[in-house]
Amino acid sequence: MTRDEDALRMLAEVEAANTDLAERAKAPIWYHPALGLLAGGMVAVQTQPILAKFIYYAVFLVGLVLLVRAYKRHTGMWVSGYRAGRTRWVAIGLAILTTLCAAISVWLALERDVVAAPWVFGALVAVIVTIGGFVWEAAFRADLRDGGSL
Amino acid sequence: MSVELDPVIHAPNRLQMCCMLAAMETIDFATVREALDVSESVLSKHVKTLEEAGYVKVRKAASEGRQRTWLSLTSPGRKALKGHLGALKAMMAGVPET
Repeated sequence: MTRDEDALRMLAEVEAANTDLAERAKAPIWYHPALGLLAGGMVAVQTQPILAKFIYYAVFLVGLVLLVRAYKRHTGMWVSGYRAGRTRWVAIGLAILTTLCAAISVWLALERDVVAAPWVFGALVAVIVTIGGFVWEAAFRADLRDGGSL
Repeated sequence: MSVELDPVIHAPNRLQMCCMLAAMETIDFATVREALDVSESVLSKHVKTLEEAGYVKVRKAASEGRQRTWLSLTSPGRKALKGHLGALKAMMAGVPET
């Protein structure tokens, strides 16, 4: 086998490893909906009394820790949501949409007396984050298959 | 321009492992072992080689009553891998398409 053929074979092995990783990097089916509910709840509580807000913040943090643990236990790995690649754009898009929804809902509730706004926008964020989670995962797998992980 | 292969990364299993770790923050030892389809002792040797070169960080953490070993690629490891893959691709440029 020549040096060039050896390089070709090694790159093929790298590709195979990335494809294998892409197959393994699948969160439990309930993971994204659970993350969506946590994020939606964060928007929904923004106009609640301070005590309720702080209680929810604690629930949110515990929920996140449990989700990370569950993901790691299920897949045997962990990856940052903001990693480079297509995934970063999905994550940034989700962060912007969530922040916008939270800001609009608070403005509607406090300035326009639309008291249901945080709940409506909270539900909307829950759906957006759930769908976004699946989109992120698909983008991640596409990144891995393209070998764009560095 | 000459291309340099990194002898630490060059072994197929170590190259595959580095590529997997480059894509993730951290991967469990058992998951890497399963993906590479090698024995624990073989993987331990590869991990030790990469750890000694400063390319891989090993962290042990208790999880549900048992110890799990988590592997992650360090910045020098990432840089070395990037250089190594670049060298492989440059070498491959000389292979005619079949």
